[in-house]
Amino acid sequence: MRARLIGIFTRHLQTPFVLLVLAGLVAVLTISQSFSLGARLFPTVVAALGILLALLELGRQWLRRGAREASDYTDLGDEDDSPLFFAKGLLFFAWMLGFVGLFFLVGALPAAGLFVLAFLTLQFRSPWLPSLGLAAGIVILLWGLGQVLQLRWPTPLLGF
Amino acid sequence: MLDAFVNAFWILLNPFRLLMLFSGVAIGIAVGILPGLGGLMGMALVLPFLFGMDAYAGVALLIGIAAAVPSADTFPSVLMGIPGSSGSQATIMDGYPMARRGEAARALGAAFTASLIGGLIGALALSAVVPFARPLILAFGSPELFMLTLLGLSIIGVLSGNRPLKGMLAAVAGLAIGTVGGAPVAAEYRFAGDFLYLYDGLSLVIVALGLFALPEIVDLLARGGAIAERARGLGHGWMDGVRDTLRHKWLVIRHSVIGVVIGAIPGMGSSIIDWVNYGIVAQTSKDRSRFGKGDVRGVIAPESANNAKEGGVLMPTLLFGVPGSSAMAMLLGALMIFGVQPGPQMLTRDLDLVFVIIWSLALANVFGTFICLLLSRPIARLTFVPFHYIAPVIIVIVIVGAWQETRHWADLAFLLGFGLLGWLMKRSGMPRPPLLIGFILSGLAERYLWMSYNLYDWEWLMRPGVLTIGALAVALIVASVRLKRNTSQRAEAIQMAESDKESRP
Repeated sequence: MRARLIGIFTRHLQTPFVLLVLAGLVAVLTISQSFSLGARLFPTVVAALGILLALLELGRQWLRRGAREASDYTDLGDEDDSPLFFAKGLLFFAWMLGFVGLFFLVGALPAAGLFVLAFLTLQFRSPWLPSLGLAAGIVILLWGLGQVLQLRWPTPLLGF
Repeated sequence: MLDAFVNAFWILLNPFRLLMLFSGVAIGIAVGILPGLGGLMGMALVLPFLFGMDAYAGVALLIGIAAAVPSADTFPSVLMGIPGSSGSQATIMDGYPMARRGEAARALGAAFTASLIGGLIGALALSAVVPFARPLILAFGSPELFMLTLLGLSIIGVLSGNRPLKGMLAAVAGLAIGTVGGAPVAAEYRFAGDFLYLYDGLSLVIVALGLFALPEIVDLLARGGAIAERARGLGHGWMDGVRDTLRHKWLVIRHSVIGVVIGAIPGMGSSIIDWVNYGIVAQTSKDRSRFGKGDVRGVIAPESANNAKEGGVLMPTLLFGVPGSSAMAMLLGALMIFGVQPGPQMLTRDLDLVFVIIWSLALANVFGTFICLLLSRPIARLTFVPFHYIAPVIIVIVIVGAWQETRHWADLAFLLGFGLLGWLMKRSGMPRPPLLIGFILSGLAERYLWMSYNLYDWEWLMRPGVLTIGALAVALIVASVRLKRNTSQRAEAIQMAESDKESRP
């Protein structure tokens, strides 16, 4: 059921996407009317043009409903439209979100090491030795970059 | 003009700038040999680290990446039959059959030599165009410049994806996103509410990394497994390949010139250039029987055009401020980071920088070719590293790079937001390059529109220059769409014929 829902969602993603863009452009047009002429002119022209294009695109989609749309990238394989592929993609975004959380929680360098180690061992079941080596390598690389480029890191919320 | 040309060479000879150029070439080779990644992602990755660098070193780094990718992407095309980037699809047609019969080294030798000559011809063509274009461009007023910006944007929008309307819509959405923050011609903040972070507008680094780096990583990870199975060795015959290219010197020159000309049309894209050139060489050669079975001419023609096109795409980018490709949009964005206003002013105020870009392009092609030739064995081995070992390193660098932008939590929130947006755009068939280019050109287009309106009211729409550019836009769009459609059909036919041949017992 869940896979079917994801399948329907990805197949028909293009219409909600255009509707979302259309809603955004209507908001731009509406809000910009309260600005002075200098600040209003460009957003008004852009939003009006965008609304026209969005409506034309929706009309085109309605006329060609049921037909499969090609993507903007020629390297997308058939498997890339499968529900499993979609779910996997979201999972990797969740990993990134986890890294960002860890980044603020324990600080940049420990977060980078922990993330690389966890990602390789938990997600890809990689052997410990190369995983540890890569984790240590990325911490050293970041430390080196920090020294050379004088990068600044966030203050960890856990106060290490 | 000649003074600036010579002076730029001395500027680039500074050890730090040369090191940056060399680093750019190394990064370009790394992202070029990994299928799925490309120059755009490589440029996005280094953007956060440009702050504080001098403009010459920064552009050398970016041009190094852009110039090295078309050479390095030949490795996976020849060794594994997988395009390293969209610009090396046609190389597979004859490069891969050559590798399968043990002539990988010969194919690579021919490809790298053709790439080197093509890249140098591209740089030469660009430097030859600057003195002639300068007086013409300096005669343009703000209405003509606004129309040129729209012309570039609409061509890119129309040609980027499979649906022109979607591309145009993405470009307009990019222009709209670019209006967030302080208005360039009025003391007002737009669409920012009380959120101070948005008062400066959204950052190019965050938008570029989000739209182009994260979706590629996620897709490559979701596909899983190693990038490719281990192919055969490189074999011998490097010098044979070099000699092949030198023997076909007129072919190299002809296809380099075609690469420059098509590359100068914004939005034509490297895959079109690649296939157009393959189609031309396959159709105009007397003996066509070997094409698709490992004819070295099928490697030389697309490879020389692919590198030469970088000179072509830089023409509209540097002369008009209209990016010839997404990677060039990134270069324009970087120029803005350095406080350089892209467009015709560059030819008066920053002529040194223009020539530094040209010299960087020429030297990067030389560096890239020699690195690819001398380190071909270890570089070829890199192609077989499973992507899940590379992905976490890139993710960490992307997030750390994004954090350096303003060191605000919203940098990372917007990074993930744009990453998800880019990924959903990819899934829904909405092209991403026009959105990025629209975003980058937004401020420039707004200034040109305001100046035109302020000076001429709406009468600027009837100026002869504006009408000419408008007519040119329509003609170019129609011709480009036709060329793209014909090329795609021809490429599909060639690939289908090839797979038919392979499936036959």
